[in-house]
Amino acid sequence: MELKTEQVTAPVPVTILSVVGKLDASNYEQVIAHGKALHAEGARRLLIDLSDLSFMGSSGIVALHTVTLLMLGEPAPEPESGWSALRALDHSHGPGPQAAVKLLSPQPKIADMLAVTGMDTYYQIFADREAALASFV
Amino acid sequence: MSRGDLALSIAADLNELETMRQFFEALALQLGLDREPTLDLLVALNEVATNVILHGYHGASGTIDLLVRPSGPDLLITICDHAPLFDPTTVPPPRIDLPLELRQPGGMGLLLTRHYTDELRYRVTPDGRNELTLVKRGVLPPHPKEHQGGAED
Repeated sequence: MELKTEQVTAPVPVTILSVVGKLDASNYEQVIAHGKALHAEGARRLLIDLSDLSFMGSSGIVALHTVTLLMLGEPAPEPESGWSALRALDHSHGPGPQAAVKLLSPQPKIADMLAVTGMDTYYQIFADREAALASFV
Repeated sequence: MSRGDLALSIAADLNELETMRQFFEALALQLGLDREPTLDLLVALNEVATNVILHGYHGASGTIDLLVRPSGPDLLITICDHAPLFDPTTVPPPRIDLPLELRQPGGMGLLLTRHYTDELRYRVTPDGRNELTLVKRGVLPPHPKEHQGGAED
């Protein structure tokens, strides 16, 4: 698996993270680590390009989930220990997709997996890169 | 090509998941599976093997034995391991209706496995191994020998 990063500044600064190859339990933590590094560098809007991701296991969903929580400013769960307790939060992001992390061109099976797991409800998913970038505010 | 059983053993190592996927993908092509059920089963196999490695063996060494068995139009894939006995078919489905920040980060593997297969069968083998069989119905084309003497479709 390869991770590629690109910064675009118009209309607002967005970091594009391309995940290339295959994403599974053997390498998903690399995505999380990369997401943490991007967040530490100031990234707050992330477009995850899945167009060249040919396989994704459920660990990839964990990576998406964790990176998204990071970008939303939520505490990231520890993948190893799970997250057993429900916590009272000071704020809620409400129903529907969140605005910090969006997805670009998942291949059909991956798109289906996102739907089966209900993860698609949290993301705007685009087929066009320019439309995706224009959607960030 | 022969429609006999086909087997693979891998070490219980996450780096072997790709070996298993490549084995099955090549086999599916030879058996004449369409792309969609192949992709379905790649996901299911990946999730089962991942769970065996992470939650069964807990990172300890071990093997995972894969056996692919055509059965008429159906495909049966049996996964055996020596990890502590555990029946994954008894695991309840995860909550997927919660806000993102309240969801468990994992637990989707079995959900996906159930979705992409028609049946899961678990048993303990006579020699004390976990055995999980994935059933995918109606995905195999008729075997050439099964067409002999039959009417055209």
